[in-house]
Amino acid sequence: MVDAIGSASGSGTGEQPVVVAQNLTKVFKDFWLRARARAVENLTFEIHRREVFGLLGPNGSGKSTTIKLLLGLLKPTSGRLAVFGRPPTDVAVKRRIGYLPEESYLYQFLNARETLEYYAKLFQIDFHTRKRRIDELIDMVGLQSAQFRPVRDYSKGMQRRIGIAQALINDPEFLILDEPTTGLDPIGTRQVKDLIIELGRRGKTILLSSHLLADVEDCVHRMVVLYGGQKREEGTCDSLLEEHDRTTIEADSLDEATIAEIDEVIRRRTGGSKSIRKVARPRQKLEEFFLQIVERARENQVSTSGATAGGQTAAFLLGTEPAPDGSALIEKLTNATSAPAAVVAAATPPPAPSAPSGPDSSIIADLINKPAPVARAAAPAANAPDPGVAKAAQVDSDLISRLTSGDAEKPR
Amino acid sequence: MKWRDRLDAIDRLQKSRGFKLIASAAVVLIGVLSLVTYVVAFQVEAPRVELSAPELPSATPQGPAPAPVPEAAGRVEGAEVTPGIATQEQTDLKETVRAVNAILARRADPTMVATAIAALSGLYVLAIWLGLGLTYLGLSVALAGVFAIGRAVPAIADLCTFAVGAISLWAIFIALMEGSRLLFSGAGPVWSIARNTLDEARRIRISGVFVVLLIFLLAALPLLLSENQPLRYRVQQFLQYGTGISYMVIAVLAVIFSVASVALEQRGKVIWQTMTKPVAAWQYVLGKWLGVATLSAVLLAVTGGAVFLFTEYLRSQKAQGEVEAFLSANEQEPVTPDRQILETQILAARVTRSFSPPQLDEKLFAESVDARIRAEQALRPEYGRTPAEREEIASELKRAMMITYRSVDPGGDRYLVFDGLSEPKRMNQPVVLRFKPESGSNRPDTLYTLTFLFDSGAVAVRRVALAQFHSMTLSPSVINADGRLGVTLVNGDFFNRVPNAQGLYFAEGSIELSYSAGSYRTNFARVFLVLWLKIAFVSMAGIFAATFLSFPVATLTAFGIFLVSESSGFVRSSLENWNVTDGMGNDVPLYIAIDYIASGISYPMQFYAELRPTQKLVDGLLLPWSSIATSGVLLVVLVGVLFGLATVIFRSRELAIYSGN
Repeated sequence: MVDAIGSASGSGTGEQPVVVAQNLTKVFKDFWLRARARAVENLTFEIHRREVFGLLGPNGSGKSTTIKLLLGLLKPTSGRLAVFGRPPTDVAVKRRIGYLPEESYLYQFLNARETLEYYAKLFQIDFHTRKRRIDELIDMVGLQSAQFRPVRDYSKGMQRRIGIAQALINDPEFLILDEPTTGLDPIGTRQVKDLIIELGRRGKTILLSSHLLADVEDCVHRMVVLYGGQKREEGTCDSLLEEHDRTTIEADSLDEATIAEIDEVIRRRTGGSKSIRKVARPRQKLEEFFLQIVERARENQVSTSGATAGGQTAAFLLGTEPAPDGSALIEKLTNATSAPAAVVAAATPPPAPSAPSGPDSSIIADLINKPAPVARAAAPAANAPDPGVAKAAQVDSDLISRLTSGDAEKPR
Repeated sequence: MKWRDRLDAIDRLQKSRGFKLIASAAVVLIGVLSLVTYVVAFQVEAPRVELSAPELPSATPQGPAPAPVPEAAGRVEGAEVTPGIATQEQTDLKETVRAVNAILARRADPTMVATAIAALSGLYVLAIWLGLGLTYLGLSVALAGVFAIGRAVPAIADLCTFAVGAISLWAIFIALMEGSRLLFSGAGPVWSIARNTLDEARRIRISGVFVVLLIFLLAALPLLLSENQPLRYRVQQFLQYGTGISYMVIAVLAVIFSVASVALEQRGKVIWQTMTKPVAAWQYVLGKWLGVATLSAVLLAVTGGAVFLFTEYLRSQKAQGEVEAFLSANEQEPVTPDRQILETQILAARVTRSFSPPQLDEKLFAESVDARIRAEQALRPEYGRTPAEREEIASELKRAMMITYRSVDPGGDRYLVFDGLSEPKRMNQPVVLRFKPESGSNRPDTLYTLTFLFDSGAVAVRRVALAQFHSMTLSPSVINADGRLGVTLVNGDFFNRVPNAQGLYFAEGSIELSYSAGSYRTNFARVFLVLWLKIAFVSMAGIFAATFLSFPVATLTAFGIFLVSESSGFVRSSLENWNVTDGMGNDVPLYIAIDYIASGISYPMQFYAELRPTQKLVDGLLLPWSSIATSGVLLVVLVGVLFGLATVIFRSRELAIYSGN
């Protein structure tokens, strides 16, 4: 766990962390200044540049309070908190932040375009840029047909979409998303996750707060788990979720005899202490199944009166002009591997399928008698990273590192 | 909701550049055609009406030759009294006829029609470029339809007139609101928040109810005026209620909306999405205030325009004693009294002067105070020992002296001096003497004769009713080179030696001289400017309260500030008669506390109460730029103080907490 404030080893590049919280405490008091609730207690963490950071916890664990402290909507009772090296209440800092609250608190009398226009003007974005971004964002969130209706006529999901759009209107460096998938259908949820992954790939720093664990697991590099306002765990997905006392092997469909033989090999090798615990056919995730149905329906041009599926990610979020750090070259090189999961895997490369060590290594070596399978293109996210894809991602990551002189983030 | 989608589509069409260009060209073409049609086909010589003042026979007083007027300080010694009744009345008539002829000349000017057509076309083009072309077309069709129905069905003519008024006011309102939005269309937090506030005002129910109520009230007001009343009273009534109701409704709207705009955003957490953007606390507060102040300005412009135009319409109606507007039924009286008072005293911008109080001999006065104290000490030995008690006795004595000075015994006289009249003397302008005598029970069937003997030698004798204002136009020759006018007021017919039956009393403000010091139109605009300054102040009070109080508490607080400000004049004048002692002369702590609190609260707002713009408009009095500047600076300072406090409080607030939750 990283506890030291401003630890250079955490960032890897010596850059100042985006967020530094040290012994952060927030106590809510009543009118008579009596302590009513300790929402956050001695919380210490850092968020580094270009990482997707998860803030997890059950309801009432202090996630939203922490976010409000980061945004200056609340003041800490004690402790230190800095965003981009400045106090959260600094107005200049807010120019670099985009925020999506847990509920969409929008002006009900404005329509989608007017809403985005209003928030864009707060950033003093010029007319032409504003118009272009608004058009792209409305297209991205799938609200073209509803853009002139007042927000009060929107469903919750539609309001959420416009909330996402307003959080991105200023192309923020640091994006704070509080329960971003609340109210969204699985299509919208998938798109938000893809967007987060893509923005993370583009170098944005993202703070993702959610109690929907599957959403967080698919997207984040590193996370903090809160309970009762206190930090309970901190680390990467792999370091927190990997079970080191088990091994999963995925193979093509096997008959009973082959399985029995494998079990026999394991028993023989381990002196009977280990065996196959479970044999099952892998299940497709419900989310993927649902998306396939929707995709088929779309191909058959079945009509819908709700929000349409969003379009491409807004061009300004992807960056249209060539950047000086060679990221355009990265773009070209990484175009071949279009599956976002592969890119996520590149940022936090899973253990490479190199020669395993330890007593099980010979068992596995025996079992592996084929090259690693190619990554499935259809499923954008999987429970466990595909080794083949991971290997390709590893190559990408190495290439990127060589080309950009170590700009790519190394996993923590 | 398909009809809404259609309306939205129409709205987008009228805002498109192509439509604006085509529509503007069409309006300009129609305007030019109309003008040409008028010039070629309908040009007529407007019957030019010009009044002339008939020569009045000079009256010779009855009875023996009058004795010389008693000496009084400041008068020209040896001046002989010249019976000049005709001179005064001739001056009166000449000046009034001159003013009325000027009005008639303006009405008959043929370029007025051309100007009106050009102005109307210009307004339509402006509306088109504000994105309201089709809206205005629809409103124009509605107006024409309602007007035609009103003409065709006399039974509902009044209702149609009311509808025409309401539609017209609504059309002006939406054009001004659109123009204001355009003004705030720049990027930046202050402009963005101000424009958003205006949008909120247009689209939420609170302000919508007030705007509709205001427009309906104004449109209905003319229907309540009785045609049997003299025209000047109808005009004054309309000015009083039209301006007063407009101000009150807009002020109440400003208070509620300014509070709601800030407090409800905090309650609904909408403010989080604004204040997590690069918006400083002062920008937020300023933007909100600009939005509310602009809304108030738009509403005042609409209502002010409506009041002004309808007053001009009333002016063009028949006054009492006229066969048609400006044409008297009596050849010997070319301008009726009703018309005269209307044109010279109500639709005017007058400055008034009261007579100077008598010079006090300080030594004699001090002796009087001592004598009074000694008399009182016979009953209460401890009385008058403190400076405060002595001051109170002196004030009482001065009041009693003024009451005596304002009273004139039957057959007696009183010498009055009016200073500060250099301006009308220099401009050779007539002055108007207004007076209201009172006596006993002020019986309405009793007439009293008053004689006025001016230092310049002019005289006037008037037979007047009691408890009513009467006026007399005086030539500037009655004013001396120092800007001073001296007049001896005699309670009775001086020349015929007939005193009145009873003594007369002239209350404060019941004898004054006034002269025209500006244009009525400019004065009207100044009055509405002052009304806007006052509303801008209460708007900032509402925003200030909402930065740290919940919606209901902030609304009550803001209303409290508004009511204290409006009533501070009444409170201060009441405090002059507030007694802090009981019947035995002992101080009552509660009464003293009330005195201190009321004084403390009302004193800072004294200047606010002294402005009285509506009353000045109704009375035809000038609201000078100097008053506006002084009060304006003080109001701006107050607004600045509230703005600073609101910013500091807002910046230190935890916006995620509202009302303790």
